[in-house]
Amino acid sequence: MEITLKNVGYRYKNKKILDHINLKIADNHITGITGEYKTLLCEIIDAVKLDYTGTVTVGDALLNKENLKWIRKEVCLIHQNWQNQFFTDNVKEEIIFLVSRLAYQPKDLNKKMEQSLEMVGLNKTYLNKEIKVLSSGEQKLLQVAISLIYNPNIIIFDEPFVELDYKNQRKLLKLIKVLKEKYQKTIIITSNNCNLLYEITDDIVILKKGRILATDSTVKVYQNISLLKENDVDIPDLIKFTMLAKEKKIKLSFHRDIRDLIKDVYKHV
Amino acid sequence: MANILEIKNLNYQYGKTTIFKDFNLSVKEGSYISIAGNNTSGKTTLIKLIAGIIPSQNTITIGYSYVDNNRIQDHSKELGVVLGNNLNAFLFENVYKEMAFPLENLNKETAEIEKKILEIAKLFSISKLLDKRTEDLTNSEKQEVLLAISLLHQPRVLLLDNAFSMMTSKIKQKVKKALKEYQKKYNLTIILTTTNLEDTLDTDYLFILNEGNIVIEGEPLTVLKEDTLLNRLGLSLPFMADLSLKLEFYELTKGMEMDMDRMVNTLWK
Repeated sequence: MEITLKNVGYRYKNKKILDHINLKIADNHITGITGEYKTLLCEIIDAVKLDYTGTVTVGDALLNKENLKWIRKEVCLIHQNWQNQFFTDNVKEEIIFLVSRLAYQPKDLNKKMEQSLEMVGLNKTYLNKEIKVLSSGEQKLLQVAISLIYNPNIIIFDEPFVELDYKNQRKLLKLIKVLKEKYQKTIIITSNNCNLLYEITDDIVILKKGRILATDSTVKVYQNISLLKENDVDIPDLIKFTMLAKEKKIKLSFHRDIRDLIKDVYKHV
Repeated sequence: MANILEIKNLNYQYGKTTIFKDFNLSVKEGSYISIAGNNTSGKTTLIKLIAGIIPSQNTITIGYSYVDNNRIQDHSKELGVVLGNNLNAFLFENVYKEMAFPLENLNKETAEIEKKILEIAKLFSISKLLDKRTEDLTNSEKQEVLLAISLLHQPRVLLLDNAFSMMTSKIKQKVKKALKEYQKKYNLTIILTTTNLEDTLDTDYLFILNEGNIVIEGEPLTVLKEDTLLNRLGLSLPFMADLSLKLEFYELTKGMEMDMDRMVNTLWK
């Protein structure tokens, strides 16, 4: 589902926080958002914050109070710090509680729960576990599993990698790819980690001082080195290395995997 | 140099799960050490035990006295603690008031408080943030402020748990430089925990924690050579370390090179 933001602005006590946001988030793409106030932008798309100016369209529907129920089903925001956000102790109770608040009621909830846990790589024993004892990686996967029960079209991950170790990061990256390719989801990821964004996203949006600095395909944005340098935006290590080599008149290509880079270096030494 | 922190035969269980069994660690005064491990390694629990948030049955000494969970105020003067995920912990409307609060609690004079805050703010170059509303801070700025607050009462030991996790690499570099300066000047002891090995590179000594045990220890660059073991434990190598080891494998370079410019210069003279 495509998301279109037209001239979106957000003020807090007469202070402009977001201004002139014109943006198209493509259907079935993974879009990365980096820079300042990226969480706020996600909360606007998720219809948590409704007091903005301009218009947001999700699919064919305008995001407004009348469409709220529909939006809640189609857009899911995976929060960064879930520990402070769950309402009950037990995984199963939490799922039942969350689903009960939705307009959409799945017929066979028990089966659906097990299926969606399986989709993210957790087994059904997790249903009887206490949420508190789950590691942050498992909690993130569980949140995705819960969202899959009501099958939203758009999934927003807010800073998903921050607390995850390498193993859990890999697991989540794999899951995100499956969500895109197998289930045709539209995915938004906010992060400050340019290396991970470069690895996984199709498109990138860079925010600076409440405005859009750049928005285009990931490859194009990250190869526009002069713009990134001028604005103090972090550059992925793989790109930095290729640029340094180019300065030495070595014709390395841009790679998105370190192994490809090594092969290329090997050819040029 | 004397040991400022001593942990002897620490045992800790959460429910039925044993997290630490006969755990030992000693830290010299004025050193900067790091503890890295995956999401289930017990890092955060260790920090909470040292800080006295969790009772530790007289197995931890700071200076000459035991950390006693019932008398946190006794050793809280010696300790600065930053829990990097605790971004909703702000109590006051603006940053200056937030920073003044802990000093007001220690019955300091208004003039002295102001002097202290300005001094720390200058050191971390966050003077511009002082009149900002805490709600308007980005996550990265919140972490900068939390770090500054933890040093206001001039602790002898600083505990950092995922304290840089939301910062962009530019800001991280700036903050770490300032922190090192401060450490040298006041002979501060720093204990840092992280899932990101990149954060440990500028520390004196690195411990790898796994399931409550120290698996490898040593100077960071020496520890990083154990890449296969680290990957198995759920930790990823920093880009330059990974690249160095892979290039060394193909006999293109020798040894660990963490500086990208120098690496490119050795490859193509």
